[in-house]
Amino acid sequence: MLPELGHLALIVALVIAFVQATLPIVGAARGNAYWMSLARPAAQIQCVLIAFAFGCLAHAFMVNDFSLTIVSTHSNEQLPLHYRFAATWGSHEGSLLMWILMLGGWGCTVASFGNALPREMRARVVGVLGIVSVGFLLFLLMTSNPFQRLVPAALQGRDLNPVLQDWGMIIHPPMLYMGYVGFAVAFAFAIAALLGNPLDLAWARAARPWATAAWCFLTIGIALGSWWAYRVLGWGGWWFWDPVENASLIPWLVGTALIHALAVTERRGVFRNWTVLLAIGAFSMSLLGTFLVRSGVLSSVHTFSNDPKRGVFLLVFLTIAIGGSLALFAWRAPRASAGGHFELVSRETALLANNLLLMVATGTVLLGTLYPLVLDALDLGKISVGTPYFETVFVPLIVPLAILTGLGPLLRWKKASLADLARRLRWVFVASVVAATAAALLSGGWSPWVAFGLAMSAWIVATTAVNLFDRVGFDAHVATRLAAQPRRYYGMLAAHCGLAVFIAGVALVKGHEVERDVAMRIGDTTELGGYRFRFAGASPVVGANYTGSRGAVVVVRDGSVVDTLYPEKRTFNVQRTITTEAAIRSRPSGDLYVSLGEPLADGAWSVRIYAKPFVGWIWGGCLLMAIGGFLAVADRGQRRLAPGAVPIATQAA
Amino acid sequence: MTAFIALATLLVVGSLAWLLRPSTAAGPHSQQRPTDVGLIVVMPMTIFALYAALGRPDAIAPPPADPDRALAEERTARLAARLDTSPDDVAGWRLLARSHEQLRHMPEAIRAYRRLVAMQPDDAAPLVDLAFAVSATLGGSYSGEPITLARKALALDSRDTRALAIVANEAAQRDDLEAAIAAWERIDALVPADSDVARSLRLNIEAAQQMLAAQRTDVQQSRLP
Repeated sequence: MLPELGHLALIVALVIAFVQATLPIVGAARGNAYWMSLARPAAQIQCVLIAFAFGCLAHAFMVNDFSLTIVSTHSNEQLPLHYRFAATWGSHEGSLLMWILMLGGWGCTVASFGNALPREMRARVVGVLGIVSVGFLLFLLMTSNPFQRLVPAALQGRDLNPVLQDWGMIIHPPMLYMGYVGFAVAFAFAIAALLGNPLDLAWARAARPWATAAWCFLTIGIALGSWWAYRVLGWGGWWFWDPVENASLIPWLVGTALIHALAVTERRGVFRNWTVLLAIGAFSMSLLGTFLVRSGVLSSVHTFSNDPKRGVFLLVFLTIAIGGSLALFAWRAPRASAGGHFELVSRETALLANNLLLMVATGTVLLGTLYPLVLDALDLGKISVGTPYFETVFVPLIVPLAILTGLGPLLRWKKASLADLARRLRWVFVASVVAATAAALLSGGWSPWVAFGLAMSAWIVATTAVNLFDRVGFDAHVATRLAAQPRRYYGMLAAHCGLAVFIAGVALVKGHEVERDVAMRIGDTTELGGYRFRFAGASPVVGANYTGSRGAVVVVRDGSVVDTLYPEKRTFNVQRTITTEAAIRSRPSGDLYVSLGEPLADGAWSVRIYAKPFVGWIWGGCLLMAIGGFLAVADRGQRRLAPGAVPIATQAA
Repeated sequence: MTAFIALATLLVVGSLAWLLRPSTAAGPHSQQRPTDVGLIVVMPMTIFALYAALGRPDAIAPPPADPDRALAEERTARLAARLDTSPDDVAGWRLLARSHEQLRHMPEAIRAYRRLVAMQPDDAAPLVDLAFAVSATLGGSYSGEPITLARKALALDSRDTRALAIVANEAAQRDDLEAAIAAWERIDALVPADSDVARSLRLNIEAAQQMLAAQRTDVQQSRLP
């Protein structure tokens, strides 16, 4: 009975979403207070209904209800309970339902806590979220119904794809979707502004925390996806420039541009149209990502099925959403930009350059991702755009961006002096270069690329330190002034340092990772990265839903045993898929990564060993960026509208 | 089904009530009443139409999948594979036949029992087991092969109560109540008097005797002009 109630709840949610998408927006245009007031309860009940439907689906997975098609194709009685729960979003249908649940959650949050917003704006924002909801609920119910029945029920399920049976997979999709869908809120604010709310300081203040929160979740989601690939796919890589990964990177780049543009709009009132365009862009790129992953255009572990109906529906939806909002932008965006003026050398210019670089970076990733697809679709041959393209084109764009990350926050708004800045920063520059050179030499052999990466990283950290020093000084009152700084300021520092940590991690791994592929018999040893690895044999293991072999590799450094690693090779009972469970010893200074290959003749095994110095810094840096973002969201001052705040136009005059 | 309709109604009405709460909480708006009436009429109709098109109320109470069954299936298949290599294992064949019977794989169960009968020509038990299995494929009828098998079993062991039960049931199915009662009485003599079997036998016998009496009255009445 629960699946049918869940199904009904989705249908009721669709009807409510339709009300939410129409009456509040029309009400805001006509000044109908009652219609506007329906926005809040509609968003709330819609969220509850979708959560209920999601709960019903999760319950069906947990009790092995194989009368639901997706349970029978994505689960199995042998699957451990926590993976059965995670299998709820392990299928195309289930993951879309989670997408919609996140959308409902964001809508409910805006509707319930957006008290500070003007009534019309809230009605429009919630209404636009309702429109998005209608589109996705229709897509779900018409082409990808998670409650589709299998009558009579199957006796047993076909099991969850074994590579998804990892706890990283339990949290990666929810985080990523929180980010994707969170940009819908920024999008809704942009559309609300185009529909009639003034594009003023209050607008930027209201939209900013939502965009930042979405960006944080997306950052964590992408980092978790990368970390999962590193641990589970068994090749020790952390980013593959796979189209599906790119599909999440593209909205992240646009989102990064958006949160910086919002900062300028809020503080200085410039770039207003540009900010609106970015808000539309970030969500459009999320939709494009969803289209690429969900339509069956791409094939990878993420794309579960190829149904042309889905692709067509999504393409139509994408066209309406992106085309419609861009048309609205062309028609309604304020003609004259009544922002404040700024000189060529100013923080505004630096942030403009930041946006420009991020947009070009987005373009390169978009091109590398879509070009092969377009060629293939037009029957012009198959080409593969891989890591060499992205490393050649994308990385050079990151260098000026990193330099600007250090420079931008030190520049004054409106007008800054380059000479003054050069005088202040020459020692910072020298110190960064010296520190980076020293660190590169100590890190295990000289490499100019490692030194260059570390220099960028050191530059960001050093300029961030200068920024903090400028603000709080260094006297008896330093503690008071430290406490007086707003959270969003610390958020910015943390996020920029996160970027520095990330760059350092990437540079060190790229420059100094070593690997060795060896055949080992019991007692054989091999050396790598200053460690000696002794193979102590392999023994059979039996898990809940797999059998396999577990190797034991003793790690020795300077004659004493530091660790024993147990890499596994598993064969899953139902799908007969073989997976590699790498054993990883993680330390801040780097990982030792051992994966078990094939058994060879006379008791030997092929064993692959990697030493990856500082690889953890890559994800640590992402985490630090996200923490910075959350600090900014938690800044009360950002949400509170200062009493008697003046509209931007007046301010600029 | 009733529970589903009740809960579904609750879900729809609850959602509507929540949506239209502003009309009860806030002060009166001019457009409130027509809006509320419109929504209350249109929304449930739309929901009903969509559910009628998409829902599967017929699947509300699917037979619960038995988690033990898959395991039993797997074990039985493994046992059958083992018996291919060691075909003289009497206990193994007995277990296989019983397992197939439990899982309602009747053709396989019958094949296994026939094999047991051939392996133990002097034993009544496999004959009776086979008779019950065959009867299950005949819709519970004991006429034909089952009764023949039961008679063979009784020739080997005249005190086999299960074979006697088949004889009694076969007779009862033919409406030969006297023969049925006779067979039941033979079983009654063989089982402990205070056992459950004995009690249920006596109920059977009593019922059969009453039916017999009623039949005689019917016959007498039908002879009346």
